[in-house]
Amino acid sequence: MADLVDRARSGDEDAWDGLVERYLGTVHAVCRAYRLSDADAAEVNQIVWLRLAEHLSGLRAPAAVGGWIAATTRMECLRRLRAAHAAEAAAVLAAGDSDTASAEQAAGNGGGTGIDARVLVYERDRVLLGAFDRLDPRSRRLLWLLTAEPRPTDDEVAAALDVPEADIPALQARALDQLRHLMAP
Amino acid sequence: MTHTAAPLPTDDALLEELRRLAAGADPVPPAWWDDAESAFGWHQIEAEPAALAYDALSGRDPGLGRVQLAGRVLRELRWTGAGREVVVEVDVGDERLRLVGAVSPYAAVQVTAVWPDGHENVTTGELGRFTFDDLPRKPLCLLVGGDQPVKTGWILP
Repeated sequence: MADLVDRARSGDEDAWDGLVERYLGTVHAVCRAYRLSDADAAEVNQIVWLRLAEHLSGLRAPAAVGGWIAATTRMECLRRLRAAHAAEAAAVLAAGDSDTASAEQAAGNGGGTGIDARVLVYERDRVLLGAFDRLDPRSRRLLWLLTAEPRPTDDEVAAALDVPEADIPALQARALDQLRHLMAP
Repeated sequence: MTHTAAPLPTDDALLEELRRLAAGADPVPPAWWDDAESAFGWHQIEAEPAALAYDALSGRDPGLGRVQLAGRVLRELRWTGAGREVVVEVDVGDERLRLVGAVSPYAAVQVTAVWPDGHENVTTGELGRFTFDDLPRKPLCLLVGGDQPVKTGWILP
């Protein structure tokens, strides 16, 4: 990634497109993880890339550009939530280890995944998505990020969720265990 | 007694199923690619980036320099670069914004407001002042012309 950043800094548009190719999925997944509306998510996407272009020359660690993008997307998502829905932002910010599902629902975020019912072709998918909806918010956000294509690295996921990178494997295992438990008949 | 329930999927299998569902039902919107790729345009503007010296929104006292009046927000910003200072006051309405600024030291130069899908030019007047009366409420930056052009960072209304 440092090579792409270096080349983009010197004006190489193909290198910039390479960064977009690699990280657009991450930006999209972070926006979805924070449940922004389509319009807000599109604006956040635009702002993240404008900001990256502006700060490209000043990035101290070009190899960590993915973490910068993930963290900037998270901050823009929270800024957007604060501006538009102060109460919802408070619930998202408060979402930690405790019982946050009720807090998020109380803030009016609802329980839908945003996945269209048309794709629920198989019973298996219905069971999986039903379980996904009942995950605690932090686990759900983590799994959203892990579905991004290409998959974000652990340091990028950590930046997107504002948690220590070392905790990611354990959080992932816990989220998947919880999902399996919720899928069980 | 036999157990007939299907075995629960492994971690990798579960993630793969989620990835398949997300990719099929919630792909990245095509317009996002255009927005991301065109953002490189700022980097390609041939002008020295001016450093943000002051933004009322990030000051110690967020109340200073930022006034909210009946749905409108006034915000002050200042940049320096190439021996110049660019000061602006942004008046943000619901849909549009007004931007009043000054370039010092004074010179009669063209100032361009640039947003992702458009731009508008004005020329500085008395004391280096300039005004954009009716801009879209979108991220925008300023390009200040002259012998040593400078560009500001993005103003996010």
